[in-house]
Amino acid sequence: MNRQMVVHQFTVDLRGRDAVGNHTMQVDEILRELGADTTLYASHADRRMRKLSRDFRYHATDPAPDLIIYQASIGSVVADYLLTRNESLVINYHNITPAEPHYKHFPHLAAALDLGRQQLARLCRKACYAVADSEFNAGELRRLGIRNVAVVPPLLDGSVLPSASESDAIGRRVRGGRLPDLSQNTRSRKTDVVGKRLRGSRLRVPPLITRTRQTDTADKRICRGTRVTLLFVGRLAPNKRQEDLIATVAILRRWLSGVELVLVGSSVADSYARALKDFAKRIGVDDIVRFEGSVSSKRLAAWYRTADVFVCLSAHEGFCVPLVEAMAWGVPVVALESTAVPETLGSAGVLVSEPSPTLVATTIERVLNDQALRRKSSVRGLARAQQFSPGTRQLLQQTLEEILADNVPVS
Amino acid sequence: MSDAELTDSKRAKLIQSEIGADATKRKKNDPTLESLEREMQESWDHIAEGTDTATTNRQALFGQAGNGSVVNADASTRNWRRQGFTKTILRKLVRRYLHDVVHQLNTLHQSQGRLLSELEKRIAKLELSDPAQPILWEMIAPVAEPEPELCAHIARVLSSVQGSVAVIAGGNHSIVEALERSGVAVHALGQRQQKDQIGSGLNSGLGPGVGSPIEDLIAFGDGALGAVVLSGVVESYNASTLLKLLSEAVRATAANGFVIVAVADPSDRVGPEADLMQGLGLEPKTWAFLLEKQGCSVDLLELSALRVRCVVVAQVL
Repeated sequence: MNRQMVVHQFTVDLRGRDAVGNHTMQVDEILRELGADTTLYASHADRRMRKLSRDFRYHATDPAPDLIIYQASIGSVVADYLLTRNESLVINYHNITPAEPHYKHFPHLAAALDLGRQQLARLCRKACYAVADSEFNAGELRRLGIRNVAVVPPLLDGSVLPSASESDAIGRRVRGGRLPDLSQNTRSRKTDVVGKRLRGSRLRVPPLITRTRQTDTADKRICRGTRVTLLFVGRLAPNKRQEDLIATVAILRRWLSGVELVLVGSSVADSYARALKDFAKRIGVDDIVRFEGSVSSKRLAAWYRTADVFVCLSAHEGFCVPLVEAMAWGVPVVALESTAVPETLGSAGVLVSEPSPTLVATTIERVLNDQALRRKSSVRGLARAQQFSPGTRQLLQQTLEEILADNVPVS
Repeated sequence: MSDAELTDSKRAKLIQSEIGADATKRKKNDPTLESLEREMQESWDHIAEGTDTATTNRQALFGQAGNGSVVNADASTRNWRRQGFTKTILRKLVRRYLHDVVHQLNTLHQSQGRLLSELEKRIAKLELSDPAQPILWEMIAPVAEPEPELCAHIARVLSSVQGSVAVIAGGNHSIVEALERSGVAVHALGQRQQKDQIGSGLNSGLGPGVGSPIEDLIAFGDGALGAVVLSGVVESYNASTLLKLLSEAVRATAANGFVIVAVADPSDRVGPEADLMQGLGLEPKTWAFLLEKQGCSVDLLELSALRVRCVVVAQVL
């Protein structure tokens, strides 16, 4: 007689406002819907998540499960512990960023990433099944020897995505061609303020933007004004290459007036964030680069609503959830053609082959001024985003059903 | 790829090239752009180089070291609320101290991880270019010739194989002889590290080589062989050579053909051989694992009272 399946899910860091944390919670929800008895274990959990999970160090004394699912994204003792377990193991792989770019700013994080890659190779020998965010990630796992790899994109945080009515409105606006005319922002004077600032000139950069309303108002609304807002969402981390975005906006302001760059995302460590701020100041764009830090879902949605172009110059992405969020909000995307980015974008977005500031700035300017290209990019983005949700949930449910069926416990 | 997608990708490439040309033109028309890019890059390099690394940033270290840590300073400090004021203050102070200690411990742990990984890489490099290898070969005795029972076992397994069999083994070719007796067509690729160690196989006219079984196998096309037998000297190759050898063996073997590994278990070595051949050869279970990874179905044939106690028989699927 079959009894209820007991599934233990492990993750390193369980946070509510985090792609892996959000995915883990949704996997847990689906497993429960499928009738499994589930428990979440984490090495660290934020205050909210602590109530929903157990410290993995107590796992050894808990009753053994039938199946273990590990959300792999970084090196940790959790993986070492799982290597000692005999239960069937499923790896849900969210990609491990290469360590090398992090050694300069976050040596300890880099070491953890290195460790993660070593552990992943060992886990792959042990795992019976794997789920990867993208074909790019699946390829990595297959190279490590797992044959059963399903590709299921990460589940998205619904609170950041537009509601059904908003989606309809965005669709109508984008398809109906009512896009704001941004060509008026093209600058007639080409003042080399950046160059002068770099060469030690004391020239003060005149404010290009007249802020009609403060953005930090109590109701957290963000006002467009006459600005052109470039948005990037992601941790401040060397592999995301925010310095290239800042350099790009320095070039772009020579051609476009009222341009601003908004960087949303928490800083993993102060040193890199400080370097970015110093860099923005040194090249004279500190007045048009906003470091928003970590923001609430509501405010993040407001930024997507406000953004004119989403720019991503990350050197390494295993999937890149913000790309999908931007597409869902109808924001045209300009992104560096690297790792899993082209796969996530599909035929939407405009790719750049290298992060050269002039090339990226030219691409952004083209997207802003070429109405047809902007509309096409937005329309395709909307269609692409719809492929991920709620279809992804169904796909994940099917995959988990298959995994559970292959591991049916018999009492 | 559908026509529509093809058109999309073509169109995307066209737009990309148009934009690329526009950017190049702009750089040509405005030389300051190039110098500005360069200056910004230099500026970033300078700032990034001069920025305090995370080693001086204790708060950041706490956050990060904690993520992959062995020890959690917060684990033992739960349920403070119902305790008295003094006790709470004391616990908070202890916790603050513990945070420091834990941070150091976790950083040490992760640095060790990094060091170990670098050490691994360096060892792998050393293994690849080990200058001591030729000296080693002179000091240790040649791998013992397989016993007649072992040869008979291999011949039995391969009696019905289609196509010819390549034998990578010692030059004395006892496996070859056993196969020939059972009517199997054989390519003998006898190997020794030293040419003078090749025995009767050298005179058999079957083409034994010296020291490069991988190159010998490369000469065969994909699936050209019915089976490959790895024996004798193979047990003294290092892991990286063995991996290449295995992948070539599987490639050269036809579907449903066999790759047979008949080598002694390195853990059975004793005396000087055990010391001098450390890290060389693989255990039968490891062979089986590697062959499974190459897509073969693997059986382990246990043989009693022989030097080679276990023969790995892998069928290429």
